[in-house]
Amino acid sequence: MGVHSRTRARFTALHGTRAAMLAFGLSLTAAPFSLSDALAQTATARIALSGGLDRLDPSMSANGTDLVVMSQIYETLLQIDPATGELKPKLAESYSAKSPTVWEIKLRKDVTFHDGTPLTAADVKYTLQRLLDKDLGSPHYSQLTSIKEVRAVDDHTVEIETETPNPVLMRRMQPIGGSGRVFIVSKAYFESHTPEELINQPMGTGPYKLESWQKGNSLTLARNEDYWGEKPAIEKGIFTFIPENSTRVNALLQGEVDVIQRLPISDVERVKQSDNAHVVSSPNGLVHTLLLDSSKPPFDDIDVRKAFAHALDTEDMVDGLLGEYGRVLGVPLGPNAVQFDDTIEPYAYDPDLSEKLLEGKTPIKLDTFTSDGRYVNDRDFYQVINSQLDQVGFEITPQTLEWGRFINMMQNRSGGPFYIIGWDFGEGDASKMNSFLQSSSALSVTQDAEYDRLVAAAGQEPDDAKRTEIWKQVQKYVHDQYFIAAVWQASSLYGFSKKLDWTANFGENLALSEFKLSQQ
Amino acid sequence: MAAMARKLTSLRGSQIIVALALVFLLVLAVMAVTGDLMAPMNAARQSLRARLMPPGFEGRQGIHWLGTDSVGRDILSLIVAGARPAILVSGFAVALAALFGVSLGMFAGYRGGRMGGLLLYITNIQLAFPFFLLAVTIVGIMRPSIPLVVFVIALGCWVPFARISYSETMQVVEQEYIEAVRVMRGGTARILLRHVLPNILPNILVLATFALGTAIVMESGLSFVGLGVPTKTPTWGRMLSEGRDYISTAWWLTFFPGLAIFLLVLSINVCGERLRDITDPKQAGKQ
Repeated sequence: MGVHSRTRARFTALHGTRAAMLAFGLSLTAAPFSLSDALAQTATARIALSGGLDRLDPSMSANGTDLVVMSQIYETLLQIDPATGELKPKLAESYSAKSPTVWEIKLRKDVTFHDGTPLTAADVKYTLQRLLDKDLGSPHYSQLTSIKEVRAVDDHTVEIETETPNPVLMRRMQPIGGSGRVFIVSKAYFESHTPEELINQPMGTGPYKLESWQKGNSLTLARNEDYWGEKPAIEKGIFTFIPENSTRVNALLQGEVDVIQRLPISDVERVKQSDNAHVVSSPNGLVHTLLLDSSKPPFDDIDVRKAFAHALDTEDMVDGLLGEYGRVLGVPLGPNAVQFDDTIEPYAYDPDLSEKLLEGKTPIKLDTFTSDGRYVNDRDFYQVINSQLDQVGFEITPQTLEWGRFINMMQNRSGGPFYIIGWDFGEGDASKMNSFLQSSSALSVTQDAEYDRLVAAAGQEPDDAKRTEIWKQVQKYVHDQYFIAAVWQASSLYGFSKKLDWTANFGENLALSEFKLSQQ
Repeated sequence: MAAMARKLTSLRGSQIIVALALVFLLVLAVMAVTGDLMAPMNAARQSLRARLMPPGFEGRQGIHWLGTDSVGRDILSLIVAGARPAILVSGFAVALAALFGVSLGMFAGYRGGRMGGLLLYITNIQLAFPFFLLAVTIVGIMRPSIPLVVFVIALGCWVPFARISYSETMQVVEQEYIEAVRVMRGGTARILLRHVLPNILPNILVLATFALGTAIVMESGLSFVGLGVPTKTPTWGRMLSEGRDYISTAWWLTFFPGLAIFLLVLSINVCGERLRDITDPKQAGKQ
């Protein structure tokens, strides 16, 4: 997931102020940029991201918008086959487990970096060692700590040895899912440049290379003509940043951009009915979890958690606010994950039960924080949740926080008694649940020994079937313990110009190289 | 005061507008005092099935004359409920600003010399800070609460009070009768309250009406960026900001609260202008 989006937050705050002035000054400005139509003659895609860019060093950023750009420039050893959900080779030619703790990876021999140097095992070894340097402070570090040693056996063979058996390690070697991903960088390039240069001048093996980056304004990618793989249809990608929803949609409809991220649901119909744009969606968007802080009162009491969960009419909420672009889930896991247990039903709406559970207790006061604009219709979700809680006797005092500050508080476990975080389950594995449920994770407000014990067992189980079995037990346990009051998944929605088309296989991951030009 | 009131209510030509503005203000004042009682429906009641419905939509609670918002609340009722924070918060803020500004201004004007210089210096510093930046910083650091928002808005509008009362006081204290009071050993407080204040009060009242207009816009602006008065039902500024996402698909979410702010500030300014004309002797014969 991309929680580290300080830039985006800064953008939003700034924009809020400007919008206030705009509203009261009664003036309207044109879209902040305009590009000549001549560019459209070459196969160019102009893409409006919902937030700004921070730093484009893949070892230093897990920010959502950064990842969109970085995953065009850098590549991973493996990728996910969208048809089966299984891993398949990318920069690697093949991979295998030599023993329960040793993975052997054979690299392709025809891959070169943008500067012409060939990709070798030394680059892979350097990449992993760099991420494992605690002092670097990489957001991917905590998910890779099981690695004990990386060995370059010959120019195109790498061995990765782990402390204990780690069957999910290879899932970190594909690009989907936010933090913990391993994008391969060039040893020579990274050793000869300063951290500042690495952030500003990304250089990898991918289908696109950086052409120019005017900070805060636009970033241009050019097709890598020496690319080892299939040549993409789009020659140039121009990224701009429009945090404000309606401005972004208008830019698409007026033909100022060809692609927009995060199309608001309320604008879907408008885009569908327009002459020059269409909607691209994937049901595998963020999985939104309503996390309860069970480490302290009042939610350390399971009865209170239960009363909370049954007070919410999640089905009605998701139906009303997301319509056909949302679904309620029984467990905090993307249905694309192999371990997903579809037999567990979401908590039923039962306000009488909630009132009964709260009977005799002193009224529970909750000082909560909410986000606005971070997730699809999050403000409306919070409002509905608060009003439904109010009806069964909880007393809520909400306060809206700017996301950058909110996420910092969550990481210090002081984000309030309950809040919503959305997770990208694109990698298709249940182990992502640990990010918000395992005691050791910074973003977890659950401190539960039994959960930790179960997932530790699952993490070391080499046999896939047995592993899935343990993960099903975990899901049952999490459901019975009411750690998470509601779970829903929102579709990833994009607006595309009719000139372009794309199949969104993995929700949040926008892949420029998969864009196709429409025949007109 | 009675003469003033007579002048205000006598309908002469363009004064119909003033009358309308007064009626509008009166209605809003009643709404602010009674709160939810005046609202046609329960402003807090949500209905996801009736979200984003256009004006005139008939829901289970009755007809939503101004439509419903993104969680199905009645916009007319929300506007009525939002009158209280809009008027009371800005009213208190202006009162606080006037109290502080006038005391400081009168004192500095009476003492003159270095005190006057110091006051001008302080007001210059205050004016050099962009209000919105200051407000966002203060409210952002502390948890928003009603007293804090009142304080911040007062901070944004006390300067004109200080400046006007400073220069007015300087003129008043040069009058011979003040000298007479001083000779008779009248204390500073007595001179300022009994003799200076009544002289400058009409100007301060005019200033206060204009400041009220500014304060309402400030309050809405703070609410717009999410730093306003914390309430369960939105304030006008927050309604504007919440409706922003739907501006191209459901215009009524932003139009009506915007209209409410516009009409309130316009009414206050119309009345303020009239008040200024009445109290300014130079304008008296020009009507």
